[in-house]
Amino acid sequence: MHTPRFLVALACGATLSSFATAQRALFAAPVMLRAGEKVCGKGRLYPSPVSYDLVRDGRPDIVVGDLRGHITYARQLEDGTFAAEQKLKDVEGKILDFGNW
Amino acid sequence: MSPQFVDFDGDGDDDIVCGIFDGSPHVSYWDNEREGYLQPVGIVDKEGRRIVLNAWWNFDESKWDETDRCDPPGGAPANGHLTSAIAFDYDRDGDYDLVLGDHKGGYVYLRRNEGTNRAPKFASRNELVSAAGAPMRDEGTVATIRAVDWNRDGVLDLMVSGMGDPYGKSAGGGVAVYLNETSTGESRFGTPVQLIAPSPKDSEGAPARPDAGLHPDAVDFDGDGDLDLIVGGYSMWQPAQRDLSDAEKQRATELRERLEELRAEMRTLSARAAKAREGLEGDAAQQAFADAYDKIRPQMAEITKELSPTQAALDELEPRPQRVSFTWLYENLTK
Repeated sequence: MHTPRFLVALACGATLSSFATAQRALFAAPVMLRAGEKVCGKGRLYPSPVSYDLVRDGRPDIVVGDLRGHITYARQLEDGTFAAEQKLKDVEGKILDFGNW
Repeated sequence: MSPQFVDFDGDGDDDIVCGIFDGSPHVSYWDNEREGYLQPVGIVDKEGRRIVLNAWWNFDESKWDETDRCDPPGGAPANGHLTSAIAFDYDRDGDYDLVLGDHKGGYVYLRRNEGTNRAPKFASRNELVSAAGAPMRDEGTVATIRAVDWNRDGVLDLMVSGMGDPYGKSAGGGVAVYLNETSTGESRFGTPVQLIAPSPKDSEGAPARPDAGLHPDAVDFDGDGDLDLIVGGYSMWQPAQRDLSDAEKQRATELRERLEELRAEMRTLSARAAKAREGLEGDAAQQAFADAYDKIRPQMAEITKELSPTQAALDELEPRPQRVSFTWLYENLTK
């Protein structure tokens, strides 16, 4: 991997044995995830992504919820990139809206 | 609001479960016949009451409310506000219980399902979820929870992420996983393993990571056999400050002074509108304020019209700290 590395740290109180059993993980420096021409979830209120094959084509898409209660999804394309986000709608074609407060 | 795709009603298709800011969990069921999602509904307990911690949005009275009716026996350790929820078979009895995240106190709670997925009967009270003998808690308060088999032992673990200080300079959010130490019966969680350390918010020049309000999911994104993290959240950074010429420094000073004048004018106008409700109460006070505000609205609009470009011009010379939300990929390099 070409990006800098950093080692994840133990939470306070964790033991070396728990560290070992947790299969210590090493992550690359984070990179922004793109969907179409934009960064996925950019500017949304507390974007919350989840990987899920929403369009049922065998390739997991990126689905993003937010504080307003809206959900978008970025379809994964054949080349592994993600298409621009679009809003998830209900069975009647209305925007699915969890923001009822 | 973190969507979880899960067959919540056990009918063979995935529904969407999540907690939302109103303080309770919701579900959008998949309509098998019409093949689409239905608008969300609240998930209620066996008595038909809303599932909450303490704070909840009272729809009937359009205000925030408090209750202790769902507190664990002996009381809750802190006043809580549910904003995240996942379906999770905590006691492995074949149905989904709910694990609830507390955005206010940072604790994690369980709402047990005493029925089935087809006919759920959620308990009336919350239970505290423990880890290594102590309440499971994120000091930065819980942003969200995910069920994930982090160590690939066939048992679902809990991944908990933190909000952290959402605007200020105090520590930001991180991500921890609590490994589930049992494979049958009641879940039991160990000490947390920090996957992403709480942010020190020290990014300069450009955003470098999600710093506050971390919302992760674990997935083998690159198909190499280990779990990567995709994480939504706010990045906070200080853009680089270039050297200014003397003329630019002078211009920056003028812009700062003008901004202060404009803000002072806004404060004066706002105070004038607020004064209109002095001595009045209830609807009369609100109406007086609304009438007074209508009178100052044109002046406020004029000020705002000048405020934005003035601030933008100053930002060009002296960039302010930035706070923008993005989604990030943390590639796991273990394999």
